[in-house]
Amino acid sequence: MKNDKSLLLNILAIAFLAVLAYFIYSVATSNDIGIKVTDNNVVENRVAYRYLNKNVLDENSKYEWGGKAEDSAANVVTSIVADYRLFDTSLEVIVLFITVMGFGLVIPKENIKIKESTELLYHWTPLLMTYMLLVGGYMFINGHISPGGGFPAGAIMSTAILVGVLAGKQTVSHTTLKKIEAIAGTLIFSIATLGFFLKGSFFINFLEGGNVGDLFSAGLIPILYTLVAFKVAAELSGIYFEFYEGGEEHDNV
Amino acid sequence: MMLLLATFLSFVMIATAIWVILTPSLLKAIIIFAIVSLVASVSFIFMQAPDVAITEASIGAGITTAIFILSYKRVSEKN
Repeated sequence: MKNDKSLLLNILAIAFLAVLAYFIYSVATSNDIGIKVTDNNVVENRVAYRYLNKNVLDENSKYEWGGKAEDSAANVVTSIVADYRLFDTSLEVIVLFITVMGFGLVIPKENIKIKESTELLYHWTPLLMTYMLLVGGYMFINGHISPGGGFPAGAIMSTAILVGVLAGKQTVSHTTLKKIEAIAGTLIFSIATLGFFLKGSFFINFLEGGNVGDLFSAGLIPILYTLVAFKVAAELSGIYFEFYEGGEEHDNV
Repeated sequence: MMLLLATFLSFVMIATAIWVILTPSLLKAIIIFAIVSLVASVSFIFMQAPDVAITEASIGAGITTAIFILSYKRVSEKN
């Protein structure tokens, strides 16, 4: 019985790998936009060419208004990270998820109570947390205009939750964090799949670009950065709860 | 002047990095490691890379230090 099941699983895995291999092969050999594995493209279609000739300020530059994401994101680094290399970012988020799962395995589950924090920290924590959440929120909303982005924004927001944990305040529960993480992760990959069905490429930026420098520009990038920031914040905050809650859902301060 | 400051910061970074290795106390080493990250983030700004500087300051100096100190606390409670 057990052998039958494992045989079926093996066949399923091989079929899945075959579909994946076919997908990678078809992407690698096509001349469309998307990731390029083989070097069968003209120079003008390459990423480096577009970036070398991009100049938002000069009207005579070879920069063209094409509605593509690199035209509308003022921050070049963002449009590289969140448009051309979104696979990197999404896989980074997955690596972080696996790391947090490893933390849950390695850290022994014991009931460790949070020590009574000092008066100063306890009373100043709401102010500090508000400031940190504001900085983090600004960073992921303006990720396509100014330096920043989803990953550091999530890190800063999780630091706010760390301060709350250290002060012994009841901020968010572990289950809420897990729900936020699950919803954000599912939405990231559903948007990616939606792009595949709408424009024929995984993780493609299918929204209208808008004006360079506006808050509502760069198409999908702000939405994806918001989701990435919430996912990273929930994952990193989960680590602190892993240290402090120790299996219990609520702690008596 | 900027170049002098950047050179000075890189020397500070090297010196603190050596100090991390030579310090016998683990907790002190973690705190000095945070200083290394902080100086690194400042030097990223000198290299015109504000995105990397923000990430280095938040993750290198903030979260890594917090996780290191929490694990140090947990390990020293165990022993």
